[in-house]
Amino acid sequence: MAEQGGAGSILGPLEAEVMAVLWRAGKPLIVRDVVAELNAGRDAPLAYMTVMTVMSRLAGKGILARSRSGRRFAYAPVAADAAEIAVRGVLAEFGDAALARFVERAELDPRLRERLRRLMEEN
Amino acid sequence: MRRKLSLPAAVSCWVLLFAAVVAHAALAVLAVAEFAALGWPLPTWFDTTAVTLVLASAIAGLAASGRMALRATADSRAVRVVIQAGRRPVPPVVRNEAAVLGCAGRLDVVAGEEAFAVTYGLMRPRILVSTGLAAALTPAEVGAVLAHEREHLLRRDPLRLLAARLFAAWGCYLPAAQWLAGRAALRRELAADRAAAGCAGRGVLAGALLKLASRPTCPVVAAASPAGEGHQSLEARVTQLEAGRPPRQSPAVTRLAASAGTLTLLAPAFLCCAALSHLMPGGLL
Repeated sequence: MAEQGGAGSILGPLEAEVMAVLWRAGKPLIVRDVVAELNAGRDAPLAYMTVMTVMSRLAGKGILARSRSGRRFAYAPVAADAAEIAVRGVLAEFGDAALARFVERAELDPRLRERLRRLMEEN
Repeated sequence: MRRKLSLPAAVSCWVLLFAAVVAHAALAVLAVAEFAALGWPLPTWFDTTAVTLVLASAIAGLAASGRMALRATADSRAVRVVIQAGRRPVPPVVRNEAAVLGCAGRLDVVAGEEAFAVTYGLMRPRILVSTGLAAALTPAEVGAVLAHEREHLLRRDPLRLLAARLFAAWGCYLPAAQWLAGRAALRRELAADRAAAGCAGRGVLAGALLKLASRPTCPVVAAASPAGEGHQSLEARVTQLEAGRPPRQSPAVTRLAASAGTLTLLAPAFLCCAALSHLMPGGLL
């Protein structure tokens, strides 16, 4: 199981619980499965909409990948563990003033791609 | 006609910006002394307005650059702490290439499907790569990326670029200041590419750029990069790889002219602030 200690500082409590379920599963899950897992042994069960909102928010942050599974969406973690989420988070939030990147975000247009390909072949 | 800005011209711009910032800071100190010695208001409304303008703009510049410096220091610490906590074993390919380049001792690896490489840290810079980098590139391309980052590391580029941004933040009333800071960042990228091409070859570096720029970027990492600048930077880097020398950058004529105009408008206030010092007890000028 992935290390959970660092997740609480990057994710909210419920977000960390959702991520723990998905990491344990090791495969994409639909919201209903996550709700069932979260509510197992819980005194006050979580509402379906609450969990769905949390998972949508995690997908919006780029922490979960969403894919269609029949008529529903299945969610899978993009990061392998809490440490990876933390690194990605600080790079995004803090990185601009404290680091130099190999390549910036770029929409690689076809002409630029062709020029690079030509350079590769010529050399 | 497309005019070019040569290196001496760019250096002149930096010298002028540095001189403007230092003169502004000195005049702000003088303005405080004048208000302390002569009280409020000063003898004429023009004096009061001019000295207040000098002081207020200096406080704004100091606040902007001070906030940036504090944030960058805190950010650097936060990035270091999180990366140290999330370190992973160095993949053999990366370890071998880093050993060849002599930077294995200053290399961190974190888990991540996205292939990225950065140099982080202000005082003791280190190279950070993701495990996805080794999976996405050939060993030679990994070597090119590490050679690029080693150049940033050896030149302490995170600190140098922060210094450029701090000057630009102080001189925020000069439209050319931000352009100069952006240009300094591009020059460092081009220098790092030349070092990488010298180590690994232009074709290998082109291959690494092609693969990494083509991959979908992690949205959270990409969010830190200003949209649009990435494309311009990559265009200049490809042009340098083709020509074998740095491309000449077009001067931001409009920004330079606007900066000159701003300085001309501010000059009477600056001169008034300096001239008023003769009214102070034991007049400085």
